[in-house]
Amino acid sequence: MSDDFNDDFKSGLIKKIAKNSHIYELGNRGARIYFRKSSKSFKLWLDFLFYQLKEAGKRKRPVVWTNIYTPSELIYSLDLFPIYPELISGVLASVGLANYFIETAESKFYSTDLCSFYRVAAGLVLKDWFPAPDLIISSAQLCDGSTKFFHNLSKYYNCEHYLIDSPYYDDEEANSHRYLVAQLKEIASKVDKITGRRLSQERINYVFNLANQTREDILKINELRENIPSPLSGWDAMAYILYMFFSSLGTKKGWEFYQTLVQEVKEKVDLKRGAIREEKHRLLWLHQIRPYYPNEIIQNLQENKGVISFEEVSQVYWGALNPQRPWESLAQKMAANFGVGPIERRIKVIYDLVKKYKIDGVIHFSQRGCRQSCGGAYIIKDFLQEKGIPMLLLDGDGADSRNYSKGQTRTRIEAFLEMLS
Amino acid sequence: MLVAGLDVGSLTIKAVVLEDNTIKDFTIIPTGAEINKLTKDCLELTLKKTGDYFKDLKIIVATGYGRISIPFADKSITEITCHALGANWLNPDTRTVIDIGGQDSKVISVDKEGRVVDFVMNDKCAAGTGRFLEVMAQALGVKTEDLGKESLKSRRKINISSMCTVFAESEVISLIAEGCAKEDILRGLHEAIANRIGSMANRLRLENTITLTGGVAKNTGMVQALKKRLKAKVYVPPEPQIVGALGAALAAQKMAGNNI
Amino acid sequence: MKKIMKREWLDFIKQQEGIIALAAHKKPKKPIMSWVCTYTPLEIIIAAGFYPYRLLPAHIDPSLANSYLDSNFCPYVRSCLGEGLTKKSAYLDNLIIGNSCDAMRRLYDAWRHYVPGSFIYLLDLPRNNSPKALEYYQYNLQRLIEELESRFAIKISEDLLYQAILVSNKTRKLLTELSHLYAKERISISATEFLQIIQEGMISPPEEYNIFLGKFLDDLKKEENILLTDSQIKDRPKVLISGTVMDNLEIARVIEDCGGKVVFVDMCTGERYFSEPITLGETKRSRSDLLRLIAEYYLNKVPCPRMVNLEKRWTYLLKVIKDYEVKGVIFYNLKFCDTSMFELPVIRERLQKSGIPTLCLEGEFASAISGGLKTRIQAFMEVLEFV
Ligand SMILES: Nc1ncnc2c1ncn2[C@@H]1O[C@H](COP(=O)(O)OP(=O)(O)OP(=O)(O)O)[C@@H](O)[C@H]1O
Ligand code: SF4
Ligand SMILES: [Mg+2]
Repeated sequence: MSDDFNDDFKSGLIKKIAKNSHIYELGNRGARIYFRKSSKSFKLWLDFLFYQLKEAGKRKRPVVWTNIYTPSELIYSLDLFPIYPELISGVLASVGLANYFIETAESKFYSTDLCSFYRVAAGLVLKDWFPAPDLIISSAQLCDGSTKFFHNLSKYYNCEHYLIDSPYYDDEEANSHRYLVAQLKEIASKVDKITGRRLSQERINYVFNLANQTREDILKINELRENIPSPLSGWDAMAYILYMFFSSLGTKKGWEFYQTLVQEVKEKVDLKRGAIREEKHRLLWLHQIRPYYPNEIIQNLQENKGVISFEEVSQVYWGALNPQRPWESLAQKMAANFGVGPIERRIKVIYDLVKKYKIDGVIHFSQRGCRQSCGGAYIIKDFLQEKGIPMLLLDGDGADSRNYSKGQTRTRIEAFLEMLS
Repeated sequence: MLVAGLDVGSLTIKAVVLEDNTIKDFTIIPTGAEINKLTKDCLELTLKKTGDYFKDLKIIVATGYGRISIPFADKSITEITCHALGANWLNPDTRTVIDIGGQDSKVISVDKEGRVVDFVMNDKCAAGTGRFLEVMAQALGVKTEDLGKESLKSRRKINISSMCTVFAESEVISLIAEGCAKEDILRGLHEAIANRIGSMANRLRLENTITLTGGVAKNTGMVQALKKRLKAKVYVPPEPQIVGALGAALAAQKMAGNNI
Repeated sequence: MKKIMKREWLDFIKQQEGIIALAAHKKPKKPIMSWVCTYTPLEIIIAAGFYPYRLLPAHIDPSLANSYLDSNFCPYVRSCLGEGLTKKSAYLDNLIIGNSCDAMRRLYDAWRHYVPGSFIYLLDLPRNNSPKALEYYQYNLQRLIEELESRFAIKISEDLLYQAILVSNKTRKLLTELSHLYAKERISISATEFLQIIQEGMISPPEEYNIFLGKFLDDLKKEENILLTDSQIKDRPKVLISGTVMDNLEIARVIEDCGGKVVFVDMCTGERYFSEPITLGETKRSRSDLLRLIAEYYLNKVPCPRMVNLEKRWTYLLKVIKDYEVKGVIFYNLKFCDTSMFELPVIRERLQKSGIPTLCLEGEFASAISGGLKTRIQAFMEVLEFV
C-alpha cells in the first residue's frame, strides 16, 4: 500500500519535473560537465537533444511526434517542433531506463513479441512523462509496428494522426509518387490550418538548403569512411550520430553538427588513426539499430580485431532536394528508401556497400520483435554467400536487455570472426 | 608433445589430453558453480589416468561457455571452431557438424581442412537441446541414459506440437494422462527435435558426411530420428561428447607446433 | 443435439475435397489463382477465368519454413511458405499476395526466391480509405488486370468483370444471410460448422458454392430445422471472437463445450471475409467504373487491424456487441502479428471500460489445443456466467 503510494507520488513528481523545461537546462549543463572529455560532435548532440526537450516543453510552436522515416525537412518546413519517440527510446535504453518502461507497457497488454523500441515508447506514453504532442505525423515506411504505434498515440493523446501511407513500388511516372505528393500536400494544408500561418517559399528555401548542405557533409563523411583503418566506428554512427541523421536535417544545429563531424573524421584519416587499435576484419552492420543498453558486443568485436566499417542505415539514398518542387522532392526522397519494395533493392545497396567499403563479413542484427528486416535476412545471406561474403545473423534485442545473453552473443561473434580468419 | 583441450560446457566439463596427435585419455564431469576449480579437477583427473603432470602440458586451450573463466588456459576458442576441428580429425569426410549440447544446438559447415565455412545456432530458448530432453525424461520418469533405448521401442507415431520446454512438458503430461505409451511420446519428442534441428540445418548447404557431436549424440533415439529427417550420411564418433574438447586439444597442438 | 448437416451439404463438402485433390494432382476445370489476404479482389480473379483459392494450410507445420523465415514470424505466413516448399499442387502455381503487412511482404520475397516456377504478384494496398487511397488502389487494380492479361494472354472485358461481381455479390448475400440465421435464429449449427462453411467458400469454385449454399439455406429455414428453444439460446453467454486467421476450428468447439455461444467471428477467415454486396445499378458501366466500385468495396468493408483506422474498427465492434448482445470478447490472434498486437491494448481497455470482459489468446498453428488453453477458455466462461 505505502509502496503504491510512494510510486504514485514519485511518478507524479517526475511527471511534473519531466515536463518542466528548466530541468532540461539543468540536465544539459550537468551532462556537459559529465561528458567534458567526449568529442565535440558528441557534445553538440547533447545540446541538440536537450534543446529539443526544452523547446517542446515551452510549446511555442506546435509539438509533433514523428518517426524516423518521415523526412525531417517536412517537419521543419512546416515550422513544427518534432519529438522522436523511437530515438528517445534508444537514449533511454543506453542510460539503462528502458526496462522500467517496457514493464509498464507490458502490464498494459503490449506483447513481449513486439519490437522493444515501441514497448519502451509505449511505456513512456502510458507514464505520461513527456511533453504531449499537438499532432502526430508518421510515415508507413519502416514497419507495421511503427504505423500502428503512432496511430495508438493519437488515441492516448486525443490528437490527429496524419499517416503518410507509402507505396510499395517506386515508379516515378506512375501513381505511387502522385499518391505520396498528394498526401504531403494535404498534410501541409492541414497544418496551415492548425498554425494559422501559410507555408512560405522562403521557409522551404531555408530548410531545404540547410538539409542539402548537411547531406553534402554526410556524403563527405561516408567517403572518408572508405579509408583503412576505419576512422569512425559504426557503433558510434548508430548511436548519437544516427539521432542527428534522422532528426536534424533541415536545421542549423544539424548542419553545424555534421560540419564538426567531418572535421573529426578527417583528422583521424590524416593521422591514420583507426576506430580500433588493430583492424583485421572490416564489417558491415545491417539493420537500422544496434543494442543500446550496456552490453559487450563492441568489446567482443574489438578483442577479435573486428571493426564495423559501415552500417546500411547511414547510406544516403536520396538526392538533393529541390525547393522549387518541394512535394515532388520529398516524395522522391521517401520513394528512394531501399528498405521499401522488393528485397532485391536492399540487396543491391548492401552489395554496393560491401564493395565500396572492402567488407570482409556482414552482420545482420536480428532484432527479436522485428519482422521487416529479419524477414529478408536469409535471402540476403544466400545472395552474399554466392559472392563469397560470409554473413552472420546475430539474434538479439535493441532495447530489451532481458533478451541479451552475454555468453551466447559472444560465442556467435567470436566464432564468426574466427571463421573470417 | 603433450597438450590439453578443455570444453567447459553449460552442463558438463570435458578434458582431453593429446600426445603426438593421439588421444591419451579424457574425462567428463558435470558443470557446477566453481567452474575454474572444477575444470582444473577435470584436467587433473585425466592427467592422473595418463600418468602425466600439469607442468608437462605445452599448451592448454579452453572452449565452451566457460572458456573465458579459465585463467590457466593459454587461449580460448569458441566451441564452433573446436567441434569443426575435432570432427574433421575423427572423420575427414565431415562436411557438416551437428552439435547438440546441453543448452545449445549448432549446425556447422566445414571444409576439408576442418575450417568453419558457416554456422547457425538455435534461438535462445532450450527447445531442441539436451536440457529439454532431460526435463522431458524427468516428466516421463525415464533416466537420461535410457532415453534412446526406450524411444526405439515405439510402435506408434505421436505428434508433439509444442517445442517450448514449459508447453511441451504440459503436453507430455496430458499425453500421459490420455494413456499414451511412454516410448511413443519419447519418439514423438525426438522427432520434433529432429525436425527443428533439420530445418535449422537447412539454412546451410547440407553436405555429406554429417557428424553428430555433443552429449545428445549418445542418445540412439535422437540419432535415429535425425538420420530419418536429414536423409543423409550420418557419422557418430565413438565418444561424441568430447569432440569439442578434442578440437581444443588439436588447436593447442597446432599452436605448440607453431611455437617450435 | 440432432445433426442437421444435410446430405447435400455433406456431399458438397466431399465433392470440394475432390476438387481440391483434383487440383493437387490432375487438371481442374479452370486454373487456380491462390490468394492470402481478404483485400485481394476476387472479382478480378474470377473475371480472369480462375478459381480463387485461399491458402489455408491447416496441416502444415510452420517450422518447415524455418530455414527461410525466423520462428518469430507470423505462423500463417510461415505455413503458407511451408506449403509452397513441400507440396506440388496446382493451387500453388499462381499466387497473388496483398501488401497487407510486413510478414506478407516478406512472404512475397521468400516465395519468389524459394518456390520456383510459379506466377506471383504483389498487389499494393493502401492503409486507409481516403479518396486518395481509393484512387491509388483503383490504379493498382488496373495494374493487376494488365499483368494478368499480358501474363496469361487473356482479355478481362467489362462484361466479364460485371459477371464476376454478380457472382461475388451472390456469395456475399448468401453468407450474410447465413450469418444472420446462425447468430439470431433458433437454428442449431455449431460455431465450428459455421466457420467451416465460410472457409469452404474460400477454397471452392464460386458458382458451385453459391448454388449449394443457396440450397443449404433453404433447407435450414424449413420448420423442422428450427430446433433450439428460447432458453437454450438465452442461457448461454454470447461470445464474440476477434482475431486474425483461425488456425484451429476446435477453439470454437471448446468455447461451446464450455457453455458459450459464439455469435460473431471477427476474423479474416470468418465474418470479415464478406460485407454488404456491391451496388451495381441498372446502367452498363465502363471498366474503370467497375474497378472503382470494387476498390470502394474492399477499402470500405469491415477493416482488418492492418488498416490504420482504429475508430472504424471500434465502432463496428461496438455495433456487433450491441446487436448480438455479446457478453464477452475472446481475442484470438496469431502470434507475432504486429498490427493486431498493437491494436489489442487500446481496444481491450475500451472494452474493459464498457464492462465487457476479455480473454486474450494466441495461436501458433499448432495441430492440437493445449490443456492450458482449454483451462483458460473454461475459466473465462465461468467469469461470463456471473456478468
Ligand atoms: N548417454 C546419454 N544418453 C542420452 N543423452 C545423454 C547421454 N549422455 C549425455 N547426454 C545428454 O547430453 C547433454 C550434455 O551434452 P554436452 O556435454 O555436449 O553439453 P554441454 O557441452 O555441456 O552443453 P553446451 O554445449 O550447450 O554448453 C545432456 O543434456 C544429456 O542429457
Ligand atoms: S495474421 Fe497478422 S501478420 Fe499474419 S498475415 Fe495476417 S495481418 Fe499479417
Ligand atoms: Mg558443448
